Amino acid sequence: MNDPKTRALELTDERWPADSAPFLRPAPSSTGVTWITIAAALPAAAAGVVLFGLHSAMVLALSMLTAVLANGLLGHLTRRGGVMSTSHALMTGLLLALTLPPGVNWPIPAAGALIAILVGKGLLGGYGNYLWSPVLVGRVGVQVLDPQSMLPASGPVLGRHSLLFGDLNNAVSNSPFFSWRRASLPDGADAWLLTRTDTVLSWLRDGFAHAGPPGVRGRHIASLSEAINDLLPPWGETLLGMVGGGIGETCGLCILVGGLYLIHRGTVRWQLPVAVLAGAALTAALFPIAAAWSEPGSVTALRWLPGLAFEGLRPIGLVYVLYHLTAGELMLGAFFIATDTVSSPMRARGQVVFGLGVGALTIGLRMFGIIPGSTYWAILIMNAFVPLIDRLTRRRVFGF
Amino acid sequence: MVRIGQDVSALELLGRASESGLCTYAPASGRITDIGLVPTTSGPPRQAVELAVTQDAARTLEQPRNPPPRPDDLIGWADLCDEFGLVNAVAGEPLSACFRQAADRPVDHLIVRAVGIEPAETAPQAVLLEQGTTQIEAIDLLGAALGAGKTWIAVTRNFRQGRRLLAGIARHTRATVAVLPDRYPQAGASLLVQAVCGRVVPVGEHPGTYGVCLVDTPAVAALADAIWYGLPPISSVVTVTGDAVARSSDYRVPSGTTVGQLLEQVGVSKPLGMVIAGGPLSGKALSHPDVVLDPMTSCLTVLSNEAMRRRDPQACLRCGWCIDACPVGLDPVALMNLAERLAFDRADAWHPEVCLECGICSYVCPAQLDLARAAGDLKRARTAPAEAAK
Repeated sequence: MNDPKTRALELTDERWPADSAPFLRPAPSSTGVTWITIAAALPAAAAGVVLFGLHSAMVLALSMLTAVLANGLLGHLTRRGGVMSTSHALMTGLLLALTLPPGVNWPIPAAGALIAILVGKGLLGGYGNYLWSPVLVGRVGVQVLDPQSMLPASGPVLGRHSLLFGDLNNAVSNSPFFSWRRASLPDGADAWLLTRTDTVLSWLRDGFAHAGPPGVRGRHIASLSEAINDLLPPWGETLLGMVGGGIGETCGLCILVGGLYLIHRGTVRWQLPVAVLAGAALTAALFPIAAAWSEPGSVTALRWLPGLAFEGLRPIGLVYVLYHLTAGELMLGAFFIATDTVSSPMRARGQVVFGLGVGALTIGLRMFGIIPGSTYWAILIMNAFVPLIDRLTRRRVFGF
Repeated sequence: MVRIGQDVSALELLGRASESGLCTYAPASGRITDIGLVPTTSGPPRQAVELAVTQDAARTLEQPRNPPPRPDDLIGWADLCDEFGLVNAVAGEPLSACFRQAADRPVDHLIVRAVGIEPAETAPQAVLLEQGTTQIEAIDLLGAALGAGKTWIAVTRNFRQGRRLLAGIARHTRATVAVLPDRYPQAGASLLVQAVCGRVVPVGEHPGTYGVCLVDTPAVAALADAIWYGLPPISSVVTVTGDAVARSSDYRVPSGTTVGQLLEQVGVSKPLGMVIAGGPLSGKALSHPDVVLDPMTSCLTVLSNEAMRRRDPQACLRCGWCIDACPVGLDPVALMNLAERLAFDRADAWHPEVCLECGICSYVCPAQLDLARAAGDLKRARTAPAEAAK
């Protein structure tokens, strides 16, 4: 019998390459996932340009350009250029610009993008490791640097006949009684100066005893429906975006279209945005607001469970909750910023916890907080809990 | 049992493995030219007989036919299986192990697997279709011999040709057809047992100790040939698939065929990128054409270079797709981080020993990370010392 060892070596010279399984990798790449998000954010960006004029297109472009350049710089400094995905920087710049007020001057988007990339993405852990969403780190950075231009309680929107090409600075006030669709602008004016919906909603906390514009403060308001009819635009307009707010924050419909696309492509689990909206709706429905009020300084009666309020047959409480959902930056935060994979929990179950926290904190900060941008702060707070949430929502291992 | 230079006939006994007692028969007539170790597709090199085939078809041995053992004579059945050299690829052991195990622990569920390990692997279904009624009768007889409480035939939903037909035939027997969803992975022992009869067999444990006997259709087919025709298995059915294969299909391949010989017959239409024993997700890349196909391998995948186009790994996005995809609830990212830091001692809490090495985590990963390899490394680091202690 031959020696077994020599027998095993009598092979042909032909050799095939070897590797470890799996051999097929058809899943979308990380870059692909980022491009899907960019594509999904485009409707909201387009709505922002139409509603707020070409100046906001400049803000968008500047933010994205700065983010990409800063990303190149970061890759150069850390000598890890290959890992620092350019498309991710582009996405960060785009989302950052969507959170900015439309009328900001050029240093703000540039500084925001620099902070987002160099600090939010670079210093705070790097791509794939950061705890806080870089978009929000950038946004909060400029909010601290220039609070005046970042925190307007009211914002301009172009009028019907001056969409896209109008000048935002040429605005006239028409708050608080306003319907964008029905009112026509005075000659020479291009835009309406509107109170932000979330600002009006925060006034409802203790009536207009302490807050509110001059004509409203201390006014007698008999009921919730009167407050909503008199002080807020029609709900449909808050959904379409004809209200004051950030470039990409106001058009709920466009955000929803983009968000559904993200869910359809599978890059976002539906549980997260739904949990954010559900958490916000539940909290808004629970939190007490002033039932009716009369003069300044008087003690206002609180109404618990405003979400269940009925006036006659009209479910006014439901309308109130719907205003909360479309107000401010909640929709943009729920679909585009809270869903950042790196800074949100990894499993659907954890994302529900995370989303409920974001939604509840948003309403809490909106009603009781002192800093605008409540959703952004809520997301940053919940970001810090992500490692804990991930640890508590591990999967059960088969057989254990 | 045979010597170099000896002339043998097809179906003649060539040898008996010393430890398992499994017999091997000549797949064709010819002259023995060499005896030694050869590399095989499913593991370490094995003792083999090299046969120079002669075109002398007349020289086949008449097989003696013995009546099959009585249904409850478990040891008789086990000996019969070993005498014919029957193997059960699901468990990676001789078919006789089922009967020997049944002597210790009564079989509650007999599961016949007609599901390929990977989606493209259709050989188990092909065997079932080819044999049809004979296969069903053999399953019935096997169930009776094992004294199984319940007999299942596991097929997938995409097995359209045979599913209804099978249910019609099986109605007259003790077997029940279990139709599983088209999903990967589910054909491994633990997942299949859970999917079919709901019993949880921890990964790595033998189903037999939990009262489940798992066999596949080629094993049943070989058993049918043995008891009714007195024929030992001298060929196996192999799915040859992949984008570089000219005529991908299920082929009946004589024992001892090398991968190179099979590919020569089947035809390759594109330059070879990689030749894989098994499917593209969990298979093993073969490094040269002289590897012998062994009966444990029922799928051969041949991919061209463009099919395997790989991208560079990127940073983990924490998307959690690998966690969602893992069939046994592992956290592949955590395992990869542990493997990268060589923290094998801290890995126990993450249960790497449960990993099925199915490859689905790497498959879904958008960052192209080698999660499956890391998890497999940890698994081997964890289980190797335990096996060495045995």
